[in-house]
Amino acid sequence: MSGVLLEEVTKRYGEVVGVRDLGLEVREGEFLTLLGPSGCGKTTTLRLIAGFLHPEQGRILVGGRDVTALPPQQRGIGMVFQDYVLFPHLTVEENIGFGLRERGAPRDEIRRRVREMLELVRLPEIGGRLPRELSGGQQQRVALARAVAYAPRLLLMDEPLGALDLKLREAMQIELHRIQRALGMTTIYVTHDQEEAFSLSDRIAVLEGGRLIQVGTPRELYRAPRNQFVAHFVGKINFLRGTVLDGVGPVASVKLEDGHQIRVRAPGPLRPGASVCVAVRPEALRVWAGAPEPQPEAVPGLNRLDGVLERVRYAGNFTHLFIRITENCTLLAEVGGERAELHTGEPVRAGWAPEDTLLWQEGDAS
Amino acid sequence: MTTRRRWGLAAVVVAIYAFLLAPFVVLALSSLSGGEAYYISFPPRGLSTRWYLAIPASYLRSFAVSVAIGVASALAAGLLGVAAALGIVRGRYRRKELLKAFFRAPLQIPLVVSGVVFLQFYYVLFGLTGVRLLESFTGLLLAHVFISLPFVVGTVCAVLEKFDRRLEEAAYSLGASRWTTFRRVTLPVIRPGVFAGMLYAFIVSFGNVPVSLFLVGPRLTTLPVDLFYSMEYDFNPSILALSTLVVVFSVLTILLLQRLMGMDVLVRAGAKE
Amino acid sequence: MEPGHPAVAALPGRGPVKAGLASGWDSLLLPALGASLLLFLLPQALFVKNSLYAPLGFGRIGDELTLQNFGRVLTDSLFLYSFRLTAYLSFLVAVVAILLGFPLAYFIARSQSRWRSLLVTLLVVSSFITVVIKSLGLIVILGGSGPVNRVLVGAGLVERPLTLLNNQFGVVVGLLHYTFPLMALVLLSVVQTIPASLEEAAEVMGAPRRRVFTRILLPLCLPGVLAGGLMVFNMSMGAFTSAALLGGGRVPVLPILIQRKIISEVNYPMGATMSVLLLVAVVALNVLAVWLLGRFRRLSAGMRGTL
Ligand SMILES: Nc1ncnc2c1ncn2[C@@H]1O[C@H](COP(=O)(O)OP(=O)(O)O)[C@@H](O)[C@H]1O
Ligand SMILES: [Mg+2]
Repeated sequence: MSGVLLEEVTKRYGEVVGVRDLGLEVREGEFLTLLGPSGCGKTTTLRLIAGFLHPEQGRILVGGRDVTALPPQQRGIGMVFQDYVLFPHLTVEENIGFGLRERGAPRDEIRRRVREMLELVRLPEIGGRLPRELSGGQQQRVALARAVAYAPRLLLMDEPLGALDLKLREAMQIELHRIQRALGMTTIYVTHDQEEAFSLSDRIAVLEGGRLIQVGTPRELYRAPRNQFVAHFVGKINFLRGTVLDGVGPVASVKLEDGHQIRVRAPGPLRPGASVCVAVRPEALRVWAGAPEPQPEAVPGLNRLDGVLERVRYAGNFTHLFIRITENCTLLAEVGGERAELHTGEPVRAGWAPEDTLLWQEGDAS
Repeated sequence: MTTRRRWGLAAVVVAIYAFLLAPFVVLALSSLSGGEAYYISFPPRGLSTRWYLAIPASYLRSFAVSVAIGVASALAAGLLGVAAALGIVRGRYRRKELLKAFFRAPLQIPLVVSGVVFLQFYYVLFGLTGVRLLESFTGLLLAHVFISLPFVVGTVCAVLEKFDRRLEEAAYSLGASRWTTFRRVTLPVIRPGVFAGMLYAFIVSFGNVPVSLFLVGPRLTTLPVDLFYSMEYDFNPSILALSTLVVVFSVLTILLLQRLMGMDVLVRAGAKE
Repeated sequence: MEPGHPAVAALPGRGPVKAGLASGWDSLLLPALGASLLLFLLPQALFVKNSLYAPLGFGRIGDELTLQNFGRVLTDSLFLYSFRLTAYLSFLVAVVAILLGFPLAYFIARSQSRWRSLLVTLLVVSSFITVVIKSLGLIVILGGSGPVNRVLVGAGLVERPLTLLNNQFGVVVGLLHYTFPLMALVLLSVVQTIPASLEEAAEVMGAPRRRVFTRILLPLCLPGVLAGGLMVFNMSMGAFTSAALLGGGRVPVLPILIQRKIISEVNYPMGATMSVLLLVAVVALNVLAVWLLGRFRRLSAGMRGTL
């Protein structure tokens, strides 16, 4: 009963498009993240749902009720702002109890609930303090407690962890997840950080230029990005350009710009001669030293590209290899552990399976 | 609902601006009256510039005096005020609030009282040393610097306190001398505060009556005092024309300053604290 | 304050280099401090002293210190009336300036930048123009045959033109016109420090506009608003020009009484006495207001934690 439905919502700021024809369904109890680069319309979407902005077109439904014309006060929403926006003149308790008091809850009830919330965010001792006496992480938790204290049916969060440092951010992600699960309220979360989106969300909606590009589970977005933008934004990826040689059947063959020929899992029949963009994730690449020695043939059917190992970036649990194939094409490969046999400046061969390749026709927006 | 409230507020705002601006509009219109009569006619009868041509030269002289004193006190208050603010904010003296309160004190003294104070001060000084400050440019200037100094100290202290000293450290680390650093790093950053303070110093000086009133005389007088006496004792429609010219002058000055220094300065000028 | 003072040298965390730099800043304080002492303390002292001599008429004064001036002024019913009147009018103007200035400042602070700069520029222009000219314009507007009365009579709202000048109403309007632009600018700088997102946070938690105002805006702006009100009060207490021109001599506020004593009656000691009393009253009221504000803050701090 407390899902959210956006129906072809458009909001402009004068000439600038905030969001355009945005249709999105958020299911009850779901943790959905709006993901996209800065300026893509995430905040606008959230503010439309909260009621701070009103769309020029379209409808917004919360829990099945059309709230498009309602002011924020009547939407029953909880919201966590990026820079917390705690009331500086009120104590932590007063901040958390604010929404309950506005709802006319009795004093005892407010006190009990505030106590509960402080326990929930694991800050039972700081109720009497002022926001300026708290650390960034504590302020963040209080902001969350304040937003959920009156049990709103919908929780909105706009880059709530953006101002925290990396370690604290990771700890808070775990906390957020725990709390959201404990309360079970529908949550719409905004971030431009893909890893954060992946670690928190049931589903992710990717926005670009005010439009919704794709909605799906993290796995769907990663495995089947609808276009190059999503593929690029969600995880690391190598792009290669080419033309279709043979597009009939489940596996197409594509001639790359540099003349190499590769085989690709085709989403459908392809017109021969069509230009396409193919992509392969770094972790799908396998790398062997000393190309063109024949080891890769041991795994038949792999695509192969030969190049020179340009740089090795060791990251502990994995290693990034930068392989120069041609003048303007470098592949990134992610391999497990340390690969002591690989040396920069020496020839290497990269290979990957056709079914690990993604393909989009050029000029095909969707 | 929100829009209705917004419009209600907008109506209040329009009414307030009408109140603030109406006197100037009305002045300008009545100054163009073609009537012979030595009283104000509004709406104007016929249109003519005759009262503009009839502005006595003595007014123009006092206008020049006012501008000169305004500019001089803005400059003097600017110099003294910037130095004082640097001393307060950067110096070792730890009771900074006390110093600031001291420099703010003239704001709390009723202007009339300041006028009387300076009158008596100059009177005594004349008796003791023979130095005549009454009815002199220097005398007026000293009094005006006194009433305008708090504005500069206030605005410059405010920007200095927000100033990020690491900017200066960066300059030192790049090999800049203290003076170069001050001139090329510190000054540009605090400049809006300095300009805002000086703008208000000029305004306070240029429009002042209650202090000047006690210090001027037939040989040296300021425009506001001249206008004041003319309104009190011998009204002449050409002061409508003169006032209109002063309004135009003020508007042009503000627009020019805004061009030169940016909007920011004007907003900040309001924030004296 | 002298360089190399042991207490300063012993300050923690200050190396000799920093102390050396700081002493340079210290000396910058001297010119302004000197000028202020010369232009502030010395004249004030002379002036207070003057109030302690008896006037002998024709500008001459006695040579014995006495408190008789204060006795005479404080029992003078005109002075006492004038004192009450000045304080009352100044208070009224401060209240009206707050009531009108706050919505205006709020509107400007929350409006788009294009409008904003125009509105602020107009405020600055208005504060730039001398009170004398403002008063002249107001005299035209409020006069018996001025536009306001023409409209009122023309619309049949009143039978005869209202007297809007040479009375307290005229003075209040004049003082308001004098102080309002500055007040609006001060309030603007206050409201600007309050992010709109604080209001949004309250709204989304269910607070109607009225409650957003009383629970968020008002408490956060209160110190600034009171400081602005105090500024208007101070300006009005010492305002001479608008009271003289729009009161037409029939609204004897203290600045006018003082000016008459000095310029028409050439009675310096009595003028000085009145000035001293005005000064003391204003300073005392300021100290009181600041103290009350401090207490209020501590009180609200003390109530914290009780919810
Ligand atoms: N108040 C505003 N006025 C004008 N343009 C705006 C305003 N707010 C946002 N925009 C524009 O709308 C677009 C979407 O902004 P926003 O929703 O804030 O993006 P995000 O939160 O994803 O960074 C951007 O191009 C931004 O510049
Ligand atoms: Mg944003």
